[in-house]
Amino acid sequence: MAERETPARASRLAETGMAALFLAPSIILFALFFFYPFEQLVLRGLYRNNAQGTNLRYVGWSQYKDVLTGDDFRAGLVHSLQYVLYTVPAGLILGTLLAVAAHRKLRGIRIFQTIFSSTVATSVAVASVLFYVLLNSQTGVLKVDWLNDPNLALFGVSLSSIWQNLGLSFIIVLAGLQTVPTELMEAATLDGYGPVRRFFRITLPLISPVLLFLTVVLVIFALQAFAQIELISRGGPAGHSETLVYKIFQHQTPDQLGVGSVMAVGLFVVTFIVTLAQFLLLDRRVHYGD
Amino acid sequence: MAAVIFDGVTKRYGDVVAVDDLDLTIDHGEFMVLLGPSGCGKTTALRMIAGLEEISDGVLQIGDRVVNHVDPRDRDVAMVFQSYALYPHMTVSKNIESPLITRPTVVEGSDQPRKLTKAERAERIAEAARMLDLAPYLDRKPAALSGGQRQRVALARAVVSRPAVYLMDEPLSNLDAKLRAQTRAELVDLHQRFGTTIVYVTHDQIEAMTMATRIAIMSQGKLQQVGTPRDVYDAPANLFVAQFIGTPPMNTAPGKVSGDAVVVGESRFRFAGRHDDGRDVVVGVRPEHLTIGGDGAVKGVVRHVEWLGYEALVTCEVGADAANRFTLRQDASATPPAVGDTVPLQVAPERVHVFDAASTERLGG
Amino acid sequence: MGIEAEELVPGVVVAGPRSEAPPEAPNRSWLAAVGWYVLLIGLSLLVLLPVWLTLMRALSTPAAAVKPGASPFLPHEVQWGVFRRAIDQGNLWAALGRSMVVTILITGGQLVTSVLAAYAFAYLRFPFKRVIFALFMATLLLPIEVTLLPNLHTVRDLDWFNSYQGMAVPFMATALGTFLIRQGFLGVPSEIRDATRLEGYGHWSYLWKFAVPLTRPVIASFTVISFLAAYNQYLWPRAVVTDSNNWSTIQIALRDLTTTPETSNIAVAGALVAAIPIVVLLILFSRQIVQGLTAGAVKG
Ligand SMILES: Nc1ncnc2c1ncn2[C@@H]1O[C@H](COP(=O)(O)OP(=O)(O)OP(=O)(O)O)[C@@H](O)[C@H]1O
Ligand SMILES: [Mg+2]
Repeated sequence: MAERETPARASRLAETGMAALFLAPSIILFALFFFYPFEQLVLRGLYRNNAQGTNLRYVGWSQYKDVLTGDDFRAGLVHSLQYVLYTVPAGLILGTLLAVAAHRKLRGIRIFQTIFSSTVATSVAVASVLFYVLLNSQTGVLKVDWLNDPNLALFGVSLSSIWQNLGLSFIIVLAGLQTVPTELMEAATLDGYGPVRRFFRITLPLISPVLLFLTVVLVIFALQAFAQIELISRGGPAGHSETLVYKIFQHQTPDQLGVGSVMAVGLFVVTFIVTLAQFLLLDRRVHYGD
Repeated sequence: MAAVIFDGVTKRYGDVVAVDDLDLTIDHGEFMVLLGPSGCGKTTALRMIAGLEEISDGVLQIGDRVVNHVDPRDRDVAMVFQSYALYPHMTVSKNIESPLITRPTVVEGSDQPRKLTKAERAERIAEAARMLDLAPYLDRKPAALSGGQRQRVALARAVVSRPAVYLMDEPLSNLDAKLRAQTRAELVDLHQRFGTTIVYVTHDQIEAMTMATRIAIMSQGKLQQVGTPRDVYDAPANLFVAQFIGTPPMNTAPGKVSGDAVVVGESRFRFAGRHDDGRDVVVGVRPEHLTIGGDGAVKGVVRHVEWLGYEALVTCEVGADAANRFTLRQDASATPPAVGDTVPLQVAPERVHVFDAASTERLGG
Repeated sequence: MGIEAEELVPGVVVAGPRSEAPPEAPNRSWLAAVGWYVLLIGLSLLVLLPVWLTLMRALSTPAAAVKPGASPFLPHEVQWGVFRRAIDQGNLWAALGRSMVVTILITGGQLVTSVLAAYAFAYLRFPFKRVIFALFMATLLLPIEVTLLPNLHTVRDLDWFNSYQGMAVPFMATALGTFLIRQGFLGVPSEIRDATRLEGYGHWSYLWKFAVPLTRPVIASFTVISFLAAYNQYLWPRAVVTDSNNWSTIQIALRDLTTTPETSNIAVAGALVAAIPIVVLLILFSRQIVQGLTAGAVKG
């Protein structure tokens, strides 16, 4: 009888070999385009260069200190955080508003749900073009000169993100609302809760994990804003809407690489903190249920 | 067709010993039921036969081969899983065909297993479908079948390759009572028709008693007793088996050996086996061997009466002690006593089981 | 307790039972319903407003649109040729073609790498599994925005500027895809794998004949969101395309159309063209998109 003797050790070895084969494509790509560049980023920040980008000189952490405390980075960070502030609360509130409005048994509700989700069909670039037109003083509706006003430019740009995120926010909050058991709402109604109290006392706590997730997504989106800036305000006026990623992008040339690398590490740290907060908070969310 | 022999087989998961030094010979053509409470290691034993679990210690043989390190596909066994494990994305026909696709199959008239041709496979599918009444459903997906039909597809998938040994892990537990009774009969039928070895895992003693040629009773990874259904019922090897087999369970009471008898309270039972005077024992009597009547040496107060139509179960308390409760089985034709009545109790003395109190093993006679 | 196809293939859909929307209370009059419709219609108009206004703008002759008193809600001196001009001027068909190539390369690559990796994590035993898995997940912390500069360096060294491989290869592995598909694989009952082992299916045939078909819903939603993300990418193609005439993707091509306010009607027309493939995708696969986008919101 043709039988394959597979002693335990040999079969373990074969399994490990197979796993190596299956993981290899991902590992190679991750190594080359995620871990290696990250290492480069951190190391590159330790070297200063001359104006030609040559003649690297090891300077330890001093360049980090200079860049991270410098005006350029600080302005980028402030603009990025401003962008978070403009887009995230608005996204949460509007997403919840749309979701609550469309979470109802009504004839034709699917049509409204489709309309509310429709902005997921737009890319950042598409949304930016539309808002470039809307915000421009010559072509816009409100004849407000958003883009040339240092105090309004970034906010104006953020409107494009707020609008573009509507669809995603709506979909996520609606999914959360759909997990709230109907019996709970009925019980609350019997207990004499009105719709407003029902929303704040029952619905909101129950969908808070979903809102938390949405918050993290929106924060990360906001921190990564680039196309909006480039297409709508070009960072202007006078750098008043230059976010971190926009600044990093400007530091591509060899002579700027050291500074750009430090900025990218700064962006990483900010992103890391946000993501970490997400994991910690999401872990706790398990207990919300009971 | 082959025997399955466990020789000192042990399975450990870290510190947990799931199967402990199992010695068991399942003869060719037997319908062996592995019976025991949840977690006793039945499934683990079965999965070791299938090759789905590595064996920590000991030797496992199928036929005259040691199979410890033989790949599952080469063991010539088929398994019916508790969940049936049907492939939901395939039609019934494809499900049944599946074991014939990659695995060489033994064909009549030749010792050398080989892959079947498409026509041969179609023939096998048709045959299995006929046997299990599945012909009308061959093109359906499992999701569109009832529980009983799914169960039959799982069986069909097992029989189609005509394996040497069938392994079944609680295949009836997802069926309702009526279908279960019907399928039990069908399985016995199937076994008689093929005469193949079946190893069947269950925690349901009715399944074990009705289908098995022999039963292996396990507890906490250890084999307790192997024997025909009659053996294990009439002569349980230890207190665990005595109480596990039979519903309601055997009545027990502490006693002492005294000469050629065992003394329980006021009663003496003749006891053939000779043992030291004063030895502590446990005496057991099945409910059907305890009756109302006799000289009235032992009296009990009736606490419950459960009338089941074909019989009544009467629970009495002796000596106003809740620890001394005994259940007896009364024919439906007799008028059951009322709760609160005091009734005389008597035991058929030749039906008394005696176990050593310390080792819980059965004592002679 | 039968086996339902649905049970075996737990999508990454929202956890917990889906509840019905709250029913209208019986004592609510039709007036309340009408009020709700008014609210819904109002919100719909708000959501659609930016598209409407810009579309009107695009369809209008620029001069007519800025005349005093011209309503921004209506088109003026309609000119449909604006789409044609956008397509010609931005070379949009070619850009769309390149976008498709890049997107298909990325999504296809992601599917292959993450199905294989997910299989290893779900079904194979190998040393350091947990550590390797944690490293995979750590890549989520390194978006292209962070690694942009050194990656540009690498791609320059490889001479991959202005190339399909330059735009696609860095994105062909994905922790999210690996994670989601692994979850899908883990949802396949272990007895199914056991049954196939007895029947002689090895890892390779089990993967393609059982694991993948049984997790189709998960794989489908991941495919759709991967496609969406790849098609909409901006930063990376913007950085690696220096020869924009010959190598722009459609998103980058929009940048060249958005130069001055005077020609913004053309830019809008181009943007609407760029959105068409995704609108089609949304109509065809809305369920998968919703499942994909909410995947993380639920079981994390
Ligand atoms: N993969 C595993 N890892 C650790 N322990 C296990 C594993 N599989 C089984 N066990 C343990 O081994 C023991 C025997 O398990 P097994 O599944 O064989 O029980 P069983 O007799 O089939 O029970 P049931 O009637 O509940 O199916 C149990 O204590 C179980 O917890
Ligand atoms: Mg079991």
